[in-house]
Amino acid sequence: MKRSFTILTVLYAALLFTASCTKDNALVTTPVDEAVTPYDVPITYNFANADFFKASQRVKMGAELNSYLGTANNAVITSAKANDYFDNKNNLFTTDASLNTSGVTLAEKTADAAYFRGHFATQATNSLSNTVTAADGTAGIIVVGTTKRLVGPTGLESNQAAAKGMMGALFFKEAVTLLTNIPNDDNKTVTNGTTLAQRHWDEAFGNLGVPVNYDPAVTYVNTDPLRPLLWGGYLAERGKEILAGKTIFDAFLKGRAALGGHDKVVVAAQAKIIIDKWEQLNAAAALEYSTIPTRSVNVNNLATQFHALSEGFGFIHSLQFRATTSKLSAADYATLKSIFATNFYTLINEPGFTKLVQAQTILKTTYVL
Amino acid sequence: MMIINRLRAGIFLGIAAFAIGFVACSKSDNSTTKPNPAENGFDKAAMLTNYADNLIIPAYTSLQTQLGVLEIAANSFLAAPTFANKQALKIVFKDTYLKFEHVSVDQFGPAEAALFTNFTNTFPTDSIAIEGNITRGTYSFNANSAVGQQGFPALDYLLFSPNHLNDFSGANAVNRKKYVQDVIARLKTLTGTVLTGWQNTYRASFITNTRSDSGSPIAFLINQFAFEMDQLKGPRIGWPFGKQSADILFPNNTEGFNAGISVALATENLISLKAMFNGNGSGKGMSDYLIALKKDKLSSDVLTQFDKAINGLKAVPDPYATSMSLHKTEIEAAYREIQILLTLIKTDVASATGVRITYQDTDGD
Repeated sequence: MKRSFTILTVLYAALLFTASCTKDNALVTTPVDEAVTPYDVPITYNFANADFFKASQRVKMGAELNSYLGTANNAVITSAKANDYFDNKNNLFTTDASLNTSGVTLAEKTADAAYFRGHFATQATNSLSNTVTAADGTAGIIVVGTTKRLVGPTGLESNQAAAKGMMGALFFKEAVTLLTNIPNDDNKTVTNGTTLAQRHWDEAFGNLGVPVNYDPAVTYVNTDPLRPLLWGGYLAERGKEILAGKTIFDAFLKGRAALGGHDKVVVAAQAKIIIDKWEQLNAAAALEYSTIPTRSVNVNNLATQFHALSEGFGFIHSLQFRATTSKLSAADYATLKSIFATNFYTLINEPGFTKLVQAQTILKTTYVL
Repeated sequence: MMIINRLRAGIFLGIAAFAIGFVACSKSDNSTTKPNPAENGFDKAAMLTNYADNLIIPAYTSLQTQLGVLEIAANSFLAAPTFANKQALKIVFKDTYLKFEHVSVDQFGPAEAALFTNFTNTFPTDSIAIEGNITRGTYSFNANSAVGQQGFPALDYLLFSPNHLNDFSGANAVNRKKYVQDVIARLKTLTGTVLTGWQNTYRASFITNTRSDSGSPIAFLINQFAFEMDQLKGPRIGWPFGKQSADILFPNNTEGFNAGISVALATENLISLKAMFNGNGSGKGMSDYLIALKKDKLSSDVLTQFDKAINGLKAVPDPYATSMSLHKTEIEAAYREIQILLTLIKTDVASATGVRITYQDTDGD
């Protein structure tokens, strides 16, 4: 008995010593009225009564709206129909018909809905030019090999501006807002099996667009109905090297479990991990799309260059919804925004890609990419 | 007795705890220098130093020197544009273009920043734009859209295309001569920029970064080996031979078409690539790194396949355009060997070294 006490004491000392050198959680003080109770962190997001159905439905809606906007390559589209997808009117959703009667809309949670309606209108206008060749100042299509892109007068694909922009203005914004407010949410009163804090945490998770048994090591095929969508897809597409999938998913699991154990410190730490990594993922995507157009293999391949810049345009818009704790300064963000607002024909023809290299430098430096 | 034991245990645990705390404190930021047991002590920094000092920098230096020789020969020809002088110039042009094939694989770092290969070797050249430039007498080589109006392919067209000898004495002769000189000057500037970049700053960062993630020297090298093989299979050999066009031939689209040196250039490219792969036989090349990774068979398979592909190309005589109708069997045979080599490098070598092939964008949407 005495011996085990000694060992425990020493281990506790070790823990203290370890904790003392990590900055974030320097001193752990647990209020007596909210004692931490033991909890296990599961490997799937199958928490009892967890409900993120609405957020998941919006992710599916977003993906289907993007598909519709993308058909403008080969067909004339209308902004009326795009707005109907956005507002969930007239039963347009076909991949999952239950979306039509779900009562949720993309528009209700999207920051600056008018901005997106503007891109829908532009995409519809551009679709009228989908049989002419694009040029600087003229909307049209660009065909390189088997790749075909519909661009506006400055080279921007409005569907990409909308799709990637909405990833920020809706899903990322929602997650950041919800997670940031978790410490203020009631985590005591249980209604229908969960607390308000748990419901908000679950809703934030739903915006990530991954299955409950998400596995970052798996390559999901695009016919898999449970495949990751939108941000979920970007965890693999642009987040492999920063381990975004594992980091974010694990933190969602741990934080949700910690809410059950009233472990505020761990909850806050996980929320911060998610917010920071998600923003870094956004930045990694923006960096890649600033870099692709400057690669020697893509020089004068306007289809590839403009597509990347269009996605970058959307992801820069998305970064606007970063947390207030973001490392990206307002000045640097303004610079990024103005670079991507430049005519794409100018950006790709600049000797040395001055502006795009400047964007790369800001993103690399700020986010250690 | 028991008490002492307990005390000892306590002290031991105390030390262990302290050690745990200490380990936890020292962030694992030294992961770049920590030897990887799977690499069996292979010195990657020495390999990269060998690449920088014995292969890459000397190749640029050699190209730069040879461009000086080309400039002199070109000026002699421009001063007296006779058939005999043109033939003499062609020999120097070929030697210079062959030197370029040694740096073609080095399209990363300073070369990537300068878009070196784009500006020096975009083929087929844009002869219409070039003629427009000559007629107007005004042009800018710095625009990214002007890559097809300069470099070796432009010289190949200007100096050696049929019936253009007379143009050096005609109405536009002054502009045309100046254009040739400007193209050569631009080649020298670009080569100088890249060489200086290596010597001044890039070498140091290149030899000290022994990682394999994207953006690392090892990843650059493996990616470029694969890229050059793709170029060989595509624009250098395969595409002009109709491999992407249902056997419709595009003889004019080959590298060095007018000088009739396409196969020689392709062969030199591949010989140079082999030298890059095996570190010029120094024991400090990627082939040796593979052996350290216990991929001996892959290493020797790749080297053997290099020889097969090189010999396959050597069986095809220049000019390639003529061989496309007279030596189809030999071209097909060489093409097959190139394909096998491409797969070995792009799939097996990349996998063995843990490098992702990143030059082909995998954007799903």
